[in-house]
Amino acid sequence: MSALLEIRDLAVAYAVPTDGIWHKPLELRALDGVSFTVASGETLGVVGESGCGKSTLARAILGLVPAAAGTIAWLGRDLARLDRRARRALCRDLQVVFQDPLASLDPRMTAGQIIAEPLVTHAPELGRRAIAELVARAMVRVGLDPLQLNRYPHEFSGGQCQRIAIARATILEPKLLVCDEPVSALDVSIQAQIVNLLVGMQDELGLALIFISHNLAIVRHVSHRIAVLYLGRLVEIGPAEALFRAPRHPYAKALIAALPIPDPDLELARVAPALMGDPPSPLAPPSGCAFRTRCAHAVARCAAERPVLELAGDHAVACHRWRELARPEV
Amino acid sequence: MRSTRMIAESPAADTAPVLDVTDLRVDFATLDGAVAAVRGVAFQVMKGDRLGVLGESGSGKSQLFLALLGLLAPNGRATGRALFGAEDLLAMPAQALRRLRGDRIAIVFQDPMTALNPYLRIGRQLTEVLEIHRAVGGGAARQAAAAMLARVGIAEPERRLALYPHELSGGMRQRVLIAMALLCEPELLIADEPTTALDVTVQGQILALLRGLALTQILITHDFGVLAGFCNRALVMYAGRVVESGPVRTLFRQPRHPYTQGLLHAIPRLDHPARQRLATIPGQPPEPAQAGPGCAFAPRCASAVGRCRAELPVLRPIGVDQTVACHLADG
Repeated sequence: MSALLEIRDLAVAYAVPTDGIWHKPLELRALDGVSFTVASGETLGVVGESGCGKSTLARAILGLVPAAAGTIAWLGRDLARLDRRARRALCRDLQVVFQDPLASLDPRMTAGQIIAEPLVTHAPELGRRAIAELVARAMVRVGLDPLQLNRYPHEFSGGQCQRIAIARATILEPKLLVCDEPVSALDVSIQAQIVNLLVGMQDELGLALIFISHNLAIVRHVSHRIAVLYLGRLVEIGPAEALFRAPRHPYAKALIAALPIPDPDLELARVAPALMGDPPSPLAPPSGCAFRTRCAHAVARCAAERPVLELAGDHAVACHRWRELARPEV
Repeated sequence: MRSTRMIAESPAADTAPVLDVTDLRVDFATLDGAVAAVRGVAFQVMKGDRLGVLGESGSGKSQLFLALLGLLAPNGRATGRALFGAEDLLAMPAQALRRLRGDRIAIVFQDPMTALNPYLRIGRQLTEVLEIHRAVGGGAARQAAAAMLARVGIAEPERRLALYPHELSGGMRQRVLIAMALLCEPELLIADEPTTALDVTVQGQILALLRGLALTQILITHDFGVLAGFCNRALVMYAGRVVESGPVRTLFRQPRHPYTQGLLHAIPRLDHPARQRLATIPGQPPEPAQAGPGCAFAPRCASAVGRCRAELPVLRPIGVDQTVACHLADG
């Protein structure tokens, strides 16, 4: 499989204003040294807690925030070096679905206009008739009634708005769809509908997904591979099944162990919370390994030396001690 | 584990319920006429119970408890009866209810940032509770506040009293709210989605804290995982009504209502194969304003028959200690 998207040593920094106009703003490293690839047709799940950089990652890939360091390459070409026209052409291949479906749709446009907009922008050579036909087909594909073409977003439910957003994002048949918490704002009974829709469209159109969510069960359900972020750093990445069955990084282990299980017998057998404390401030990340302040296995080396992502097979982990921790007696 | 046993043992039948709600209705006056949010709900909470109330947005689960506490929006009106001990919460004068709230009944809301006053230090917000309800002030109140912060797992409690809410993390703020709720040693704690705004590892910590409290609790949630680990009994609400109730283990092992069954099947599980089609409930929950004569779930129900659309199913006992509002469920 050739890489569709290749991210190498990506860092994104935000300037955080401090008190007083004479003080220099602080630098918040929302992402720091993140590298991974996405192959065509696969789903990469991205998990982590708030402040871990999940959404910044989506924004960086979409070109909405500049990279402070590192590269994002699309089919081998560095996105930062693309000129405006090439960047615009790339939009055909790279689309996004955001968390809040109502906020991501223009309230003054009808569903039909919203879904047609990418075609009008990127394929103006199509006539009105052809566009109308494609819009109707896109609506059917996402489970909307094409007769609702002329309705406005507020006339639809949250789940239907997310269907409109998905229809808009897929009408150009992109190669990669970035989904930033696509079902988090929806009710449980609607989440399953949207998850099925995304997986079904992926199989039908062969598109790759970057699926960002804090809901581990859903990420595991849709993903081929999963990346775990902690405080802006990639701590583990590997095949979804292996990562859930045998997570290597202590943080990934804790995250999976903390997931509430919809089964009373398993839940009542739970002894103690998997992890204590809160993540430290991204403004002042700990030295060495960012997780060491909450890690039960941290040793002196973890404070002194930042662990690099170490590849073993198709599963990579950034932890000094993962090999010894993986041994059964520990 | 002691806490597990406490859950498993049902409360003794000889004691009176802590809370006994009958035929509770909540209506909102809107420009388009009255909109019913809660349409006749009855349930009991026994001492030591941890009752889960499960429902999706618009099911009425939050309005139900806001009504009990007299916290409905000005255009809302609650009718029915809600006995808390010997007193009817719905018939109580506003002033008496105010005295009760935060004292004998405490509530923890979902978003700890909006539930705390951003302009006041944590210490002030905690001691205020004791000043109002217990007429305890000064050093004694501060001491009690610090002791309570320590009890909910906040390190260096004296120092934290001087902090403002924005200086605390989300999990820490939720601990402060829980401390505030516990200050007057309430008989009943109502928690409305207390962990929904928190990260999963912090959620585990807060649930463990609540689980450790020997207290009658009601947990409002949309999360089956949270329900499974926390509650001994549960109500499932749909469109303003209870559609099923029973012991949590039974609801998971033998859900009787097609809605409960559908929800349980719609959540992806770690022990199921990935990327398979999830079972779904078609359509979406009805708007509170629209209500036909029959079962509110009938338009989304795969087994609905003519009777379901014509006649409202009443909540009836089924199996052991379980109730269901479905014409087609049989024991």
